[in-house]
Amino acid sequence: MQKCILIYEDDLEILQLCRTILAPSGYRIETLSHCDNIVADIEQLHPDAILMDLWIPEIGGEQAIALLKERVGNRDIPVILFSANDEIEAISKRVQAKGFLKKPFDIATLKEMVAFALS
Amino acid sequence: MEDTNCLKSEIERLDELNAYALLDTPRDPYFDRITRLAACIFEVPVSLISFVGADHIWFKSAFGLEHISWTERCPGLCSSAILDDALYVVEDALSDPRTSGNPLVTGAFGLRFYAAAPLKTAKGSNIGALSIIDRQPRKFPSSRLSILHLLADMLMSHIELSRGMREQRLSSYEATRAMVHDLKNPLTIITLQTELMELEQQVPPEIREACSQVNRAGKKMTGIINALLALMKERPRDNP
Repeated sequence: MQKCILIYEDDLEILQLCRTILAPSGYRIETLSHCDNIVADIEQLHPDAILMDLWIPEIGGEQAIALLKERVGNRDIPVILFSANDEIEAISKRVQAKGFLKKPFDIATLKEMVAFALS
Repeated sequence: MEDTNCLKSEIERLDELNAYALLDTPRDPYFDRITRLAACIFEVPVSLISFVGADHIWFKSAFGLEHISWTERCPGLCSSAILDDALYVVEDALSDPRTSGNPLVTGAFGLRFYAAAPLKTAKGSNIGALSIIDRQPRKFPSSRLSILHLLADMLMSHIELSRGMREQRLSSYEATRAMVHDLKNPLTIITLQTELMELEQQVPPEIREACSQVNRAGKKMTGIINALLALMKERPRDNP
């Protein structure tokens, strides 16, 4: 069955690039530019993994992940945090993300991280 | 109700004091010059600049008592001096009912004269005091004592200016750091887009080579930005 990757990123060009890079690998790519309704998004899109930008309107990636993990059924959805913030590693541990991507990243790293999230 | 109001205003006063980042900070030559000047003007052996914290009084400067840096809030007279905006003057502590039982008066220290001007912030909180102390009773005309108020006002102008400069330094530091971080989003686009172009077989080789150059330049810029962020890791000093 086709795996679904949900990407939250407010920079639409980065969002489009991620779609261009990941779609040929056979994933269903869903993209959103804000994360305020994350719980409803998950119920609607049933992602197998989430790529979450840290600085995203309005509530920010960190709080969005906390909201996501409040629901027992969502806790196993792997989250990869990506950000320009140089404290991304510590933040990623704090929110129990499966991994993190430091911006700027390259194509291979993005693909590897998504494969790792789904593993 | 009155107790609740007192507690509220004391909490506000302590918040205000903390915002100046002066409590428990080292001696400062500017503050030392003010206490030395006060001691010279009033011909007293001791002059203090004190900041009154929740449970102790911090001597930012202590002319004549250089070995002491703090004391308990009680029996410190400075705690009383900050309760009012007016000068707090005790001409003869042994005969003054406010101080006659105070251990600083009855004990080895032998305090007899005390005068203090509160250090009032722009928001109206008395965060500390500039005081002069003698071991013998003293009496000054009010015109001369008003100089103590003037010195306290001068000191507060310096404190407010230092705070303003510190806050400006911190805010421009935060803004610069955010801007440096923000460069990483366009760099992500530059490096990903050029990498995609390089992988595209239908793109002519010279264009692919140009993309490769832009990609390498983008990675170099990332290295510079990371080095810059590492240099900016330490925030500017909190102390004025």
